[in-house]
Amino acid sequence: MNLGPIFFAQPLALLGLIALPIILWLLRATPPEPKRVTLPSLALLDGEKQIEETPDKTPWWILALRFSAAALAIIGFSQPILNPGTSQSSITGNALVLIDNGWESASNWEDIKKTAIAAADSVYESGSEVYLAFSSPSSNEVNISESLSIDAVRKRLQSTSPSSWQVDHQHTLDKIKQSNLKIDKVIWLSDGLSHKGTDALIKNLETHQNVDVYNFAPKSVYAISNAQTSANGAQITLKRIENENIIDVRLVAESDKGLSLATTTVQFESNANQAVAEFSIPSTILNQVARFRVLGSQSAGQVWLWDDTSLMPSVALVDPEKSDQPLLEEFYYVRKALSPYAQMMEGELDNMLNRSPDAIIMGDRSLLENPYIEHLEDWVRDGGALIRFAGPKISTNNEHVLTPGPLRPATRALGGAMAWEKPQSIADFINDKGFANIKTPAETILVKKQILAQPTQQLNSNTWARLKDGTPLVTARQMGRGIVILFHVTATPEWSDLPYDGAFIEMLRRAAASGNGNRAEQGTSDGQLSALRVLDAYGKLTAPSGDLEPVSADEMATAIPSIKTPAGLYIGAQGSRALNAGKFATEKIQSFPINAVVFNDALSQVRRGLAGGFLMAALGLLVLDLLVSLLVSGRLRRLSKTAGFAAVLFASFSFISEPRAIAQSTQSENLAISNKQKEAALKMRFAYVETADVTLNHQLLAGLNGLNNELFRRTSVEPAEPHSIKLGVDDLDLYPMIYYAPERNAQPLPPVQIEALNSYLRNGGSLVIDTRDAAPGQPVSLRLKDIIKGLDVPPLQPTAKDHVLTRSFYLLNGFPGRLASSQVWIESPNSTDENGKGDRVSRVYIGASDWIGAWAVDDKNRPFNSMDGQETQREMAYRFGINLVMCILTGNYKEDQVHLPALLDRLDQERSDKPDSVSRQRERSIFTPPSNGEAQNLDDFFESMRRQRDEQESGDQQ
Amino acid sequence: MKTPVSKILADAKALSNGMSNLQINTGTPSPIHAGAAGRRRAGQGEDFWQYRHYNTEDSTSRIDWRKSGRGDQLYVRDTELETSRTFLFWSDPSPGFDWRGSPDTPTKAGRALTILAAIAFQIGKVGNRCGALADGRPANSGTKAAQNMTEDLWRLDATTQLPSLNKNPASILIASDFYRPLGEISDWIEQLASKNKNGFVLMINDPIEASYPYEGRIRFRNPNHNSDRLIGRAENLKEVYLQKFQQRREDIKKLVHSVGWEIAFHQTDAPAEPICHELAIWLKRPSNEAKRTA
Repeated sequence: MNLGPIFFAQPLALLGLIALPIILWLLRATPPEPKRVTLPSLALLDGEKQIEETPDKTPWWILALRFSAAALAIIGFSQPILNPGTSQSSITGNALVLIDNGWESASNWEDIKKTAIAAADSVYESGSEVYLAFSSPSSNEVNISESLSIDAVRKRLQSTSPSSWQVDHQHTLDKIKQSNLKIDKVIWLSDGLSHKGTDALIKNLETHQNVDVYNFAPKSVYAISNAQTSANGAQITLKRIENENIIDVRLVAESDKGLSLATTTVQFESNANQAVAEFSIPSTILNQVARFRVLGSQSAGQVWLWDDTSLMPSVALVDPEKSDQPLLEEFYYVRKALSPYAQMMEGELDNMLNRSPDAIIMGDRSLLENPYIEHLEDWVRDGGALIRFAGPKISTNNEHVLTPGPLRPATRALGGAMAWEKPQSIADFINDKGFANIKTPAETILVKKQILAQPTQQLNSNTWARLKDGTPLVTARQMGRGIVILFHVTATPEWSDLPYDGAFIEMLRRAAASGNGNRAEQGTSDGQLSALRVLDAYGKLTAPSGDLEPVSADEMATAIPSIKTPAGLYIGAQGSRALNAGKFATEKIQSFPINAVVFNDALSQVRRGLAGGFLMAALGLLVLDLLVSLLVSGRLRRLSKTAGFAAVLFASFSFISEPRAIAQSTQSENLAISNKQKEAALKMRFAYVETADVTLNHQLLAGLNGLNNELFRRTSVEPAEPHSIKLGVDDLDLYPMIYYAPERNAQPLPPVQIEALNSYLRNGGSLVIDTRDAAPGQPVSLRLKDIIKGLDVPPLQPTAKDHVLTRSFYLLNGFPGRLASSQVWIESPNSTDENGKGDRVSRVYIGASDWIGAWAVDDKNRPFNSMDGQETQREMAYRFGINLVMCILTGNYKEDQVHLPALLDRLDQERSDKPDSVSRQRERSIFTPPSNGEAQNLDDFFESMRRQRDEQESGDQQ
Repeated sequence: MKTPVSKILADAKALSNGMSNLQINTGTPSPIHAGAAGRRRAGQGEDFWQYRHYNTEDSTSRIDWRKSGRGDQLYVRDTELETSRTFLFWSDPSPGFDWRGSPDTPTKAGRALTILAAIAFQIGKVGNRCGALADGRPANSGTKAAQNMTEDLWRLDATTQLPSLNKNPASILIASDFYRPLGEISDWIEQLASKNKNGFVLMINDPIEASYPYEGRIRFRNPNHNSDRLIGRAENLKEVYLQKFQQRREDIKKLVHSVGWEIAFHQTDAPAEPICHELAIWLKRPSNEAKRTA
C-alpha cells in the first residue's frame, strides 16, 4: 500500500489505529492506585467532610504519552517504507529490468529484489511491458523476450538467487541483441563493479534514450583477494571500493569444522581500496586453518578457502650441530629459508622419524651404519621427501645409500690458485622437473665446490638443477612413493653462494613440499579434480550439485569461478585445490552510461529506517510512561527500596556462597590471585622453603634478610622482604631464587612438593639447596638423596675454580658458609644446552656450608650466629651470596665473552708468577665452558659422594 | 512492632543517669498516707526512731509506759518520720500510640515509656513509690519498682479502653496522644483529678502527625479502629487537619489546667532530656496529696 511517498509493507496492521479511541477511553477510566498510609491522628479528621472527592483523572500528558506510544507502535508494525519513487523520469514504452546477480550482489540482494519489484511495478502501472534479464549466466536462463506480469516478475525474483560466480555482461549483451526486443527504457540494477563486457554494455546502453541505473556497490569490504603464508602466519589481502571512511574489518581463521582459530583486525585507510591483514598463527595451528572469513561475511568473495598447496609441510632438521657462531651453523640458512613456509622441528633422527614429518632435511652426514637407516628408508618409501646436502663426509664415505645415484668419492673444487676452472654459476632450472619456473639465480651466485655424481643412465633424468657447465647441482630419485633429493653442495655458503640467493628458498620449499603426496606442483600434474564443497553466493559451504563435471588439473590451474567450476574446494589425487571467488574480484565501474539517471545506494538506507524508528520511539515512550506511572503512584520509592533490598539479599547470598567459591579457587589457582602472589609478582624477592622447624624458619628468614641488606649496600640488586613458601601450596614461579635448607630430621618430600619443585626448575627457576652439615671431605650429606627423591635434577658437577660463580661479582676462591666446605655442586654446563632452558646457567646449587647461617642477622642487623671468630669467613659467605644472586639474576650475561677480557686481565695479574698457565687458561675460558668434574646425574652424584665418604672413612681408620 | 522492653529500660536508665539527682519535694506529710521511706528524723511513722525525755508540751498519751516504768524518768517514744509519695504512671496502650511515622523516630509509646521509666527510676531511688495506673502489681518503692512499673505498662494489651481509677490518692503521670474523642478524655481526666490532686500529662505526637506531608490520592488507615478512609486529594485537607491538630492540643491543655494539673508536649523526633527536665521541675514543686477540698 502506498500513501504518498510512504509504502506500507503490512497495511493491515494499520487497522489497529481504529482501536486507538478505545484505548484512549480505557486509559482515561482507570484512576491511579491510591497510596496507602497509616495515620493514628486520622481520628482528628473524623467529622470532616472531604472537600473534593472528584475522581482523580490521569493527567492529560500521561494520556498523550500513552496514546502516542500506541499509535507509534501500530504504525511501526505496519512497516512503513519511505519510497522515494522508482523513477522521476516519465516512463513511456517497454522497459527491460537488468539485474546483476553475481556474488557481489549477495549482501544487497533483498534490497535489489525490492527495488526491482518497485521498478517493475511502476512500469507495469503505466501500461507498458516489462522484461527481466539476469546478467549472471545460469543453467536455466530466462527467456529475455518474454513479457512478464508483475506477479511473474515477483515469482521469478523470488526463485532467483545470486550465483557464486561473477556476472557476464558480454553474454547478457549478446542475449539482448539476439532477442530483438524493442526497448524504450533500461533499468539496470548494477553491483557497481566492472565485469567481463561491462564496457560494451555501457556503450550499448548509451544508445538508449532512457536508462536508470541503481548502483548497489558493496559498501564495505567485499572480497578477500589473496591469502598467503607469511613469517608469522598468514597474510590476507582485502578489497573494497575506495571511499574516505576509515573502517576496521575483522577477519576470522576457521578450521574445517567451522571452529574459529584466530581473529585479526585490519584497518582500511581513508581512500584506500586495499588492505593487508596479518594473522599471527603458530604453524601448527596454521595447518588446521581451512578458510579465512570476513566476520559476518555475506558473500562468496568474503570467504577464502585454504587448500593443500597453502598448507605448510612439516620439515625435520636432523642432528643439528650447535655452533657458537650462528652464521656458521649448518642449518642456519635452511631454517631461515623454510621457517615461514614450513613447520620446523629439530632433533635426533629417530625422534624425528617418530613424528613422521613430510620432509627430512639432513646435512652433511654419512648414513652408513646408521641404526635407523631402515626406518628412514621405509619412511621415504611411504612418501617422505629426504633432502640431503653434500659435504666432505658424504663424499669420503663412497656410499650410495639413500642418495639419488652413486657419487664420486672426490669433490670437485672450482677456482682457487691451482685450478683452471672458474667457479660456475647456475643454469636455468630444468623445465619439466621439480624446480620448474623458479627464477634462475643471478650470474654472481657461484658454486666453488661440489660433489659429483657418477655418470649413469638415470643421471640425466634425475637431475633437477645444473651448473652452467652441465654438472648436476640437485639430483632427485623417486623411491617408492617418496623421493630422495640431494643438493650437491653444502647447506652453508662454504661451497657455494646458493644459500644467499632467493632461489634457495623456492628450491627448498618445492623440495619440502614434494613430501607425502603433495609433491605435484600446480600446473605440472594431470589427473582430474572434482568439487568437494562449493560456496554459494552468500559464502556458505554446501555440497556440490550432482551435475558438476570433474575438471582436469590443467583446466583447474586457469579456472575462474563459473557455472562449470563454481567457487569451492576441489579434490584430486594431488590433494585439494581451492577456487576462490574473491581472487577474481574486480574493480568498480569508473563511469556509468552518460545518459543514465544513477541512483546510489541511498535508496536502501531510507527503506530500512522507518519501521524500526517508529517501534523504538514507541518503546521509548512506554518506558517513560512506566517511570512516570511509578512516580505518580509513589511506587518508585518502594521499588527502589525493594531494589535495594534485593541488592542486599543478592550481596548476602553471594557472600554466603563465597566459601564455596574459595574452595573452587583452590582447585583452579587461576581464579584468585592471593596477596602474596601479587607481592611476589610486583617486587623481586627471594623465598625460602618453610620447614617443620620453627627456629630454622626464623634462621632462614634472618639469613635472607641479611643477604638482602648486603645486596642493598653493595649492589644494585634490591630485593624486597623474603617470602616463606610452602611447597605445593604457593606459586613458586614468581621467585627467581628459592632457598631450601631441610631440617636435620627432614622427611622425604611428598610427590606433590617434588612436582612443584620440578615444575619450578623446568620453568627456569633457581633452587639453592643447603644441607648445613658440611663435614670435612663430605660436601653434601647423603640424606639429601632421600629428601629430594624424584627431583628432576640435571647432571651435576662440582663448581670449577673458574666457573662464573667465582667471578660474577667478587672474585672468590671458595664458597664458605658458616661451615667451611667450599664445594658447591652445580648443573653440568654441557647438560643445559639440550633444550635451551636455563640459558646455560645452572638451575640447581647444592651445598652444605650453611651460608644462610652466616648471612643471618637479627632485626637490628647484628649477626645472628657466631662464626667462631672467623669474621672474614662471614664476609666470604656474603660475597658468595652476592655472586650467587648475580649468577641467578643475570643469566649467562656474566659469562659473556665481552666481559671476559677484563677478568682475564685480572687473572693475568694474579697469576703473573705462573706465566706458563695463563695462555692455556685463556683459551679454555673463551671457547669451551670449563668443567673440571665430569657430568653426573643425580644418582651418580650421590654414588660418587658415597664412595668419597667411604674412602674418607677408610683413610681415617688407617 | 512494639519497642522491646529491654531497650526501653536501657534507654530509661541512661536518661535517668543523665539527670541530676532529683529532689522531690514531699511537702507536708500527710497523716492519711504515710509511706515507708524514713526521713532519718523523728516524726510520724511506724518504725522506732528514739526515746526522749518527756516534755511538758507532749501529750501524756505519748508517754511510753513500758520504758518509763523501768525507771524514774518519763520517756516518750519517737518514731521515725516517714513521708513518701505514690506515683502512678500510665502510658496509652492503644495501637495508634504504639506507632511511628518513619523508622528514624521511636514509636510514641516507646518514647513515652522511656520517659516515664526514667522518672520512675529517679523517684524510686529516693524512696517514693511508683506503680502503674492499671491492674497489676501495687505501687512500691525501691529500685525494682520502676522496672516493675514499666513492665506492667508495657505488657498491657493493646486496647483503646481507659483505665479505671486508683483507690488511694497519688500523683499521676499519664502519657498519651489524646486522639480519643474529647468528651471521653475530659470525663476521665476530671475523675482522676478529683481523686488525685497532682497530675502531669505528657502529650506525645509523631512529627508526621504534626506536619501532614500528604498529597494526592491516599487511602488512610486508622490503626485504632482498623478502618480505612480514602481521600481523593489529601492536600486539600491539610489546612483543616493542622488546625484540628492544634485545636486538640489547646483543648487538652485547657482541660488539664482546669483540673490543676500540669501538661507538657513532646514530639518523638525531639530529644527526651528537656521533657525529663520539665518533669523534674514539676516533681520539685511542693505538693499535697490530700484530697482537694472543694
